[in-house]
Amino acid sequence: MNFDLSPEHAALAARARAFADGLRGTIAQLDDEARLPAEHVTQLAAQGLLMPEGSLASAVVLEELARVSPAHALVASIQASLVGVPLRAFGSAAQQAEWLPRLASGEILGAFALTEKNAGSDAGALETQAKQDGDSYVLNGEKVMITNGGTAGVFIVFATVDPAAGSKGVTAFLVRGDAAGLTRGPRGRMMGMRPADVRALRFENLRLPLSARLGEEGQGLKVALTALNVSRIGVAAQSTGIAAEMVDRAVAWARGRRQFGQELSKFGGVGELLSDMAVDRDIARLMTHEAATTRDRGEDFAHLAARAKWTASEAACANADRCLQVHGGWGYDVATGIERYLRDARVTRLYEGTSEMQKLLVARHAVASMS
Amino acid sequence: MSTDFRLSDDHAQVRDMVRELCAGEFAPQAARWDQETIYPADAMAQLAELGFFGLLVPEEYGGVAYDPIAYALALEELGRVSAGVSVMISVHNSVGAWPIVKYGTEEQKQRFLPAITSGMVAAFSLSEPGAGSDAGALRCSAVRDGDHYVLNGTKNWVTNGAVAGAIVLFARTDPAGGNKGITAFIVTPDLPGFSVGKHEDKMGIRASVTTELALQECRVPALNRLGDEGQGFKIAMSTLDGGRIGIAAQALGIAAAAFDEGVRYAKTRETFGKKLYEHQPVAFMIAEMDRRVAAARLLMLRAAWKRAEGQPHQIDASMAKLYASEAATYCAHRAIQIHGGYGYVKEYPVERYYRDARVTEIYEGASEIQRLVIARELVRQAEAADAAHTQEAVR
Repeated sequence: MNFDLSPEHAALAARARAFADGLRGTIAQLDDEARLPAEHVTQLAAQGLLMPEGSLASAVVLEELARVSPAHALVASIQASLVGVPLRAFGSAAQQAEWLPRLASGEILGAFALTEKNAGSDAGALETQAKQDGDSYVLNGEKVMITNGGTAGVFIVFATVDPAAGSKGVTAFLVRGDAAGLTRGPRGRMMGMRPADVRALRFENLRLPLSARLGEEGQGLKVALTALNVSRIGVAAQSTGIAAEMVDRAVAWARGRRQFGQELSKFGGVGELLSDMAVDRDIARLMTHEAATTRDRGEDFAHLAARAKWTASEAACANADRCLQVHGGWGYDVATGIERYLRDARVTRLYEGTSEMQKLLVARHAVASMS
Repeated sequence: MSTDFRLSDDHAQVRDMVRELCAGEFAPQAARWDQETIYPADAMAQLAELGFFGLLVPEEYGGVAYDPIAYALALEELGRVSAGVSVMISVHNSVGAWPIVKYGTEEQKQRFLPAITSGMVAAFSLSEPGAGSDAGALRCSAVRDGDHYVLNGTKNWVTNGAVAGAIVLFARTDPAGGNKGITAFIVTPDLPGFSVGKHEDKMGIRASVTTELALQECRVPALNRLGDEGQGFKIAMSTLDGGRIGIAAQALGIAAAAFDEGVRYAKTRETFGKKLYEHQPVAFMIAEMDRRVAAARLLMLRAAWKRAEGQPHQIDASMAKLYASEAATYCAHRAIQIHGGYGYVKEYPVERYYRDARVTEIYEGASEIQRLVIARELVRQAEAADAAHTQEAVR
């Protein structure tokens, strides 16, 4: 048993923290302008922070990045978990050789295109079709809410090769960013995570070589779930970062501000807010690290990832809201930089499976493991 | 060594051993102890024989010297089956025997610990009718008279008070001294002027005995003073740090038992043509219980691990105690809800869990005190970090 980080993981966290601290001066502007400079991605890569090896390594990096910019953490998490993980698990040697080095160096971004207008939590209901035609597949359909949709150089796209087969027809494909027949929609205007580029995608008779298929026909949902299970640890880590930053900001404010002749922190009611925030932060981190270390050992971790993602995302939202409350009216002022976290945090309860989906996964596991 | 939250094989063995003991010996009797308010003397004697009276006592005094992790696991397992027994064992070890191990003179250790480890119950007496969370307000007085102290006052909420052979008791040696005027004593029931007052009729943990103690011109040998004069508040607070992990473990045991019963029932009972758990609101209750049990366990293990490693753990112990106790009442509440009417009758154990859980939010520091401790520590840590930054900047 060891509740501390190893010296290697602690050093990685320190590097990520230094990088994140470097963003503090500009993040409000990046949020305002809905912009994430491409060089940030290559800088992350150069410091080994874009696709670190292992889920615990990834978690400590994402937590630190999210303290300053949850959107940077999101982009890094997609690269490592939603794109890197399925490529490593299901990609052919040629696919891995073609894409992994470019993703790892930050030369290109990847994206994960599963969600459709009528297929959110119920991913098996997707309608995008891939029809085999000789030595190619022909892709037709639309995707929505694809993060990195405008910037990605490669997409993992999920489509059905047999609409009658339901979820058993779902298949994954690697689609180049410059493929003919790919149209990227206008940039979505989201409530938070505004530096991240979110778009709809349209595929019109997009021809793919057979070699662009990732995994087998009908294996698509397995590919997606493999990625999502790992990515949930990433979202949990990102959420933990938000939750932790909110604790620090709330404590700093409560120490600095005086009302009725004493520091805010000395009022019992404020102390209770701070205390509950710290407990939720610690639980979020513990669950995230539990899921990450379990995966890193090669053991079953899906239920732990679901539990961590659900719990940490709720902690992020609760702490952002409580931190704003501690700040009073100042928290509602954009210039104080707290309301951004509340906006950014909100999506963590939605993507990579809503809280409700995570609850079902947790409950199913609990029922199945009860003798 | 890399991060790893799993139990070692040795710790898992302790857990399994206690679980087996509880399932075989205590589970069949726990409901009766509760319903008939029975102090389970036989079970306590059996536990003493198996080493449970010396869990934190070094081997040279007859103890088994569990580390804080093994200790917490043992209390969790006891708590699953009988919260009443669990609290008596917790109080006996954490706040009865431990302060003697930690602060006792060699003579005191020789005099009390072998007796304690072989079956003499220990207790802890801080609270008074007018001093609960605000322990510094205690009024029980201790006046030096030659080689004795004369104690006068009333203590209450003393777990094990009526059955204890040694009670670590706090009294005021300096009427003006606030927290610094408090001194700890080892009081034994044979002392003149010591008497056990009324037994409390409690909502839960009814297998445990809770009493008032009356001290009337009670002459305590100066040899029984634990630590120095004025050191009592510090002894009480450091003792409660360890006690909090014990209560966290007990509360976790209740939470886990309630969770298990809730899930089991949801798997067997059918309504509207489906198993209960197949109804989404019930599944969500199960999920919520699951994560609270898991979170309580992680917090408890972290606090115990830090204590075992000799790291500061006051905030961790408070978090574990706060969270686990609230998880216990939550889980018991939800377990009753899943059982419906069956949850409200004594045929099923969940109403007992609910009554037992409730006190864990109160004793060894109410939730409000834990939150106060945590908030203060957060501010202290932030101040320390600021000071470190300033120092670095100066360099």
